[in-house]
Amino acid sequence: MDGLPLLSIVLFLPLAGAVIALFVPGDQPGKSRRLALLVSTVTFLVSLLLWFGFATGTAAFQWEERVAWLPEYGIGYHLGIDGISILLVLLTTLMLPLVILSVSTTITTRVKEFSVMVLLMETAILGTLMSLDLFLFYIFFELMLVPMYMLVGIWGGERRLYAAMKFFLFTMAGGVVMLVGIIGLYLLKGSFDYVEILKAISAPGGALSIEMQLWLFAAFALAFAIKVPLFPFHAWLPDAYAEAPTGATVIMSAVMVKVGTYGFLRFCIPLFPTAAHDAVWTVSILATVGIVYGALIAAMQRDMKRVVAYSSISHISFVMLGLFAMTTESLQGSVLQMLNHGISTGALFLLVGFLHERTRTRMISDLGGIAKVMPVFAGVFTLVMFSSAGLPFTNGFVGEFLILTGTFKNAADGLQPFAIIGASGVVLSAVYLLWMYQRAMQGPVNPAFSSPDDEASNVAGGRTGLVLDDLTARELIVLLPLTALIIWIGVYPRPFLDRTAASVEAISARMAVPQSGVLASGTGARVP
Amino acid sequence: MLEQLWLVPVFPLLGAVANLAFGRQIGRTMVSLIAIGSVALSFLLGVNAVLSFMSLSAPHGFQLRLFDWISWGAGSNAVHVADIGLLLDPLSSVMVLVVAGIGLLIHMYSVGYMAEEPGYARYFVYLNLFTFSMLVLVLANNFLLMFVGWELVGLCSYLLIGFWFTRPSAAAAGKKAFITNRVGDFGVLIALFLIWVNWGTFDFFGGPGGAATGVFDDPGRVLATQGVAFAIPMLLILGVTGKSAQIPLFVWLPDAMEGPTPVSALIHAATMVTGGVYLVARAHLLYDQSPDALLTLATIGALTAFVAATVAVVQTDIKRVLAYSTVSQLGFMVLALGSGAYAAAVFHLMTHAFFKALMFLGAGSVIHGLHEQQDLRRMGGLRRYMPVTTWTFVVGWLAIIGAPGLSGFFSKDLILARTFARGLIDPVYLGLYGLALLTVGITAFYMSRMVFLAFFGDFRGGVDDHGHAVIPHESPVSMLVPLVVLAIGSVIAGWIGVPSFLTGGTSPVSAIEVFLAPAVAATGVWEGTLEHLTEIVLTGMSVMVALAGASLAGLLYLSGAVNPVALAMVFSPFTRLFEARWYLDDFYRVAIVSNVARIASFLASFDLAVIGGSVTVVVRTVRGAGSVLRASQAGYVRGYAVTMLAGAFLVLAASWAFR
Amino acid sequence: MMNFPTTVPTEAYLILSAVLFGIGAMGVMLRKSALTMFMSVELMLNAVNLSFVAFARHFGRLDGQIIVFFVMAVAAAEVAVGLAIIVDIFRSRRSVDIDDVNWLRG
Repeated sequence: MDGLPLLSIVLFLPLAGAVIALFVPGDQPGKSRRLALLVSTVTFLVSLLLWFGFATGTAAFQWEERVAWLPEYGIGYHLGIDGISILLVLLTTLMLPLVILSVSTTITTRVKEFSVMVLLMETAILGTLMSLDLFLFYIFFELMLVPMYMLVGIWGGERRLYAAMKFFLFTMAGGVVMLVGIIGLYLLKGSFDYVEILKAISAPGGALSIEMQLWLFAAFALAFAIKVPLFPFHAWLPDAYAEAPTGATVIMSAVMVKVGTYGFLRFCIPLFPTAAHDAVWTVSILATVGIVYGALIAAMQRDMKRVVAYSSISHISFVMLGLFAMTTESLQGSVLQMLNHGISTGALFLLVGFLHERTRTRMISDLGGIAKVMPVFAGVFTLVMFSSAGLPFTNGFVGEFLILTGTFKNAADGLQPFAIIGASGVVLSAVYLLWMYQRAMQGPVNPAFSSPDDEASNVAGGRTGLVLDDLTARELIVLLPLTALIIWIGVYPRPFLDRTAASVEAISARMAVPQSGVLASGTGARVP
Repeated sequence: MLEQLWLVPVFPLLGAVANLAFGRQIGRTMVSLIAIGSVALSFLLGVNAVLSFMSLSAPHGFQLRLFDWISWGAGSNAVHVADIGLLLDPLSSVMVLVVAGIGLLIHMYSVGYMAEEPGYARYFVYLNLFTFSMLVLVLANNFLLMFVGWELVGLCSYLLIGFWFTRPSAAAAGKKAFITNRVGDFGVLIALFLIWVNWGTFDFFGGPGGAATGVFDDPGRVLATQGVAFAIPMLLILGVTGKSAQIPLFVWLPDAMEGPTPVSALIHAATMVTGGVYLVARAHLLYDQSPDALLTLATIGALTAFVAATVAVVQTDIKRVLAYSTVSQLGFMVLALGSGAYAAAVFHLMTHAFFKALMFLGAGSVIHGLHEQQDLRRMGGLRRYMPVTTWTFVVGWLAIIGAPGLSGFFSKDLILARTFARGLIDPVYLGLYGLALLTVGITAFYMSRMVFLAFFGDFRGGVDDHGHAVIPHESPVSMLVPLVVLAIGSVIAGWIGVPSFLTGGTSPVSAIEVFLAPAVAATGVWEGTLEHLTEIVLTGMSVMVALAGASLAGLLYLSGAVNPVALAMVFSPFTRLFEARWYLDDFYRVAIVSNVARIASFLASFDLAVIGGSVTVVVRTVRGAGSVLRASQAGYVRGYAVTMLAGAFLVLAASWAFR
Repeated sequence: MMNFPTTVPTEAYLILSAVLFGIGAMGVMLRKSALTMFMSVELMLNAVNLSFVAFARHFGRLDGQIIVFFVMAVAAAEVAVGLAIIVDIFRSRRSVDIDDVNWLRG
């Protein structure tokens, strides 16, 4: 578009910030925190240019940048965004400053290192979302592991090392298999460049053989399925989410796991259309199981953070269901739901973190009557909870409804049963969320807590135990953008759906081509 | 004025937002002014809009498209899943007037009733939000937006039932209501999928700015696949049983009485619970195509009416009697729907809104005057202490048992007559008619019992649970005015539905049916009308049955001629069944809740043991292999050097041997 | 006059190199002092260097001599790092006995 390499600026601003933060003396935590906040906020503001400048109605990549890097191996520095990545890029640049702002009272040791890691994480995530070169993508994909390993392992809870190691090994295992797939693709098509490969595949006679597709699909899908995580690859998630510090949990759940769903949509489905089509039932079954399974287990958890962790498995499975139903509605819903999941789950984890900071417990049975003590907190919690439960006029409804309708519409693949079972997840999400709310927030106030408004402690029935302040101004600032988005997307999702529509329709049109053995050459396949 | 229709739901929303933002700072008077003012404006605009609409001759009503909602793309690629738009037709006109009108009265009543509450602003925020949601539900011009209202009223219901959330029972009741409703909504959701797949739009009617052909412009599209033509109404029925508290999902409504009494009056008697009735009336073109679905609906309605009435007989809590009575009356409405008499159902919906809201508010006044006493056994003789409450309540009582001339008489008789007429075509309906007639008698009995126990005889509640003397007092004027207004409504609301054998008019149907006909006239299912003589006989029968029920109650509870306890002993198998609420709650607890909990806890341990365990197995294998090999790593540098040298010799020797 | 060969045959260099390497290897394996081991390692490296140079002369090519420069550079670096480690170990342990240093035991 215009002369500035906007994507590179957004991508490397956090990295530059991280490098500068390295030179801040370690005994000035405030300075490095402010630096990180400033850098990530500026990154967000710059990325807003992407939002406003984004051209709707075209599936082409925008703000494309292409520089040869290792041309003899077909490796290039190739960036670009389209309707599939724009929402996630914005989500990332929005969440990171909020996370940095939210942790200022909880992360008090090694603040400098924390700031560096968080900024590094931002660059890594943005890199995966913007890369149009598989080699570059892989570098960023694996780069995400390092800061996240540190974030969990250094600032986490009691079993942090165990959780960090588990997370690292799981994702690493998937990533390495994907590397094999990437190299395989290079050997077949002679390039690491996504656009080149896609062009080669769509050219007449250029489609990969079905066996090759299946192997390569499996290699990519494993990496992304672990990242999402798709049932049954979720073993790393509950521990990682529960043990990580709130900030890291938010980054992981709200942003990082989206790279998995994004990867499915960006790479697995367009590059290996026949294999993806063959996998529809497998993925749909796993996703549907994930929806119900995650919801039922969430209901049984005693730790609020684990409730949200399992609920996030349930909700991200909706996205997977929609992706592989491959109708326009379901894909639109999935792309939007990736954003929604980030907002709602992120906000829930933030709220649980704020509560934990005050009560020093996350066990539901140790709480009770919190809504009486912290009414504003309870109000925000209720809104976010119902957005997570998919109440209309919140973001969750638009996404989940589109996914389920679109899935139901795919009668050609016989996906109606999955849509129906998936819809039961909407009931179940109300069950576990409201039950948790009832036990933690309602009922008689636990005498261990009291409100600052209560009478002084020497009066009978006055203050006892911990005095829980309601949300502070800083916390409200963190939550305000998220709650605003919850309602905005719920009431007027059009700006979001418009931006994603063209790219999504390109993919659904591509996949609508009858798939028999080998992709029919060129017929009706639109290349983004 | 029709272009300002959108303001009707928006005013209460603005009120809710204003009180949410500033409610804690601006003081109670301002809060009440904002809350009542917004609903009053909404009501006035609603009246105005309805009047303008009636002067218009629009076949499908007036559509107002507001803005794009779930839609994308432009030009020929544009996809409109659903947009925000309103529809005003005879059906939604009635609903708007009921919702805004009764809502206004209950807002006013609440000012007095909730005066002592700490969460005053929060209460009015919820109440305004509810009014907004309910208006969205009844004014929506497409299924999806209607579903929005449908779910949002559920949310408000949850919030208001759990208003006193520090009480565990209130918190539990709110959750139960929401989840039970969600089960019903599951059915609606699937029905919506089917609608989208078959019509490609959710719009009720096509029109400029929306789909060319709405669902109701071409309801026969699904007839090609009989399964779908049957499935959509049946799935919607699941939603109806949830929202309108019918068998099998009615269990949440009695528990919902944990909420403040004005809430019970507005949401759980007059408006929200009639959402299901509205839904069927709105979608009646789909029901007309499926006689099986209609019969299912009628059976559910008649059974619910009967079962709930029997349970009401043995309740001792004044609000619970009214709650079961509401379930029972909703059963009548659903029976009417199932008989294809949609107008009759809407008519009864309207009259019921008046007299049931009246009785709930009256009960609230009683509870208020007795310092939170809800037990009928601790009341009695209240007419001496609370005259206005008593006599307005008596009006409500007469209306519900069908005393000739009052509103309930006309609407209930219309339902019975239409069910009977349908029975002439399909004999199953004759059985349902019989059940409904029996229920009329039971209704008269339990309602009279409640009135006699509460207002007549001697006062039995002299001392409360804490040993303080209780002197009943009449409620403040702000609470009495709505009672009087509602009492007047309970008398005259039925006069728009006076049957033609009384008016002597030429039309075989009553005025309300004529008015509603463009929106809800049944197509093809119910053609015939009854002879005037038959109608007179039917009316006479129902009046006799009601009289019998009321007289029995009089014998038991007024004159004391028969000892009620002894009578209950005689029928103990039945009373036990009724007291256990037909064991439906227990069934759910044993058969569903505990089993789901068992599955969930099994899965939770499965997740730990198998999914987590498989990871542990991999880890253990690696670690085991490592512990074997670690012996070679002694940590002595010279040991390593020797190994290296030996290795070097080995390589040399091997290369020599295999040269 | 005794008849000295005008050129030293390549074999002589290789034998010397092997002997030096053997002495170095023995030193690494038998001595306990880290410093002595270090010197032995240097001896081994120089033995290898010698054979590189010998071969280079034998074949009349420069490759071997170039490699020797690399080896010497790396050896110098290694000495620098290695001595630093040894000094550090001595500081903390008051001994450079290599058998005491087995912290990396598996």
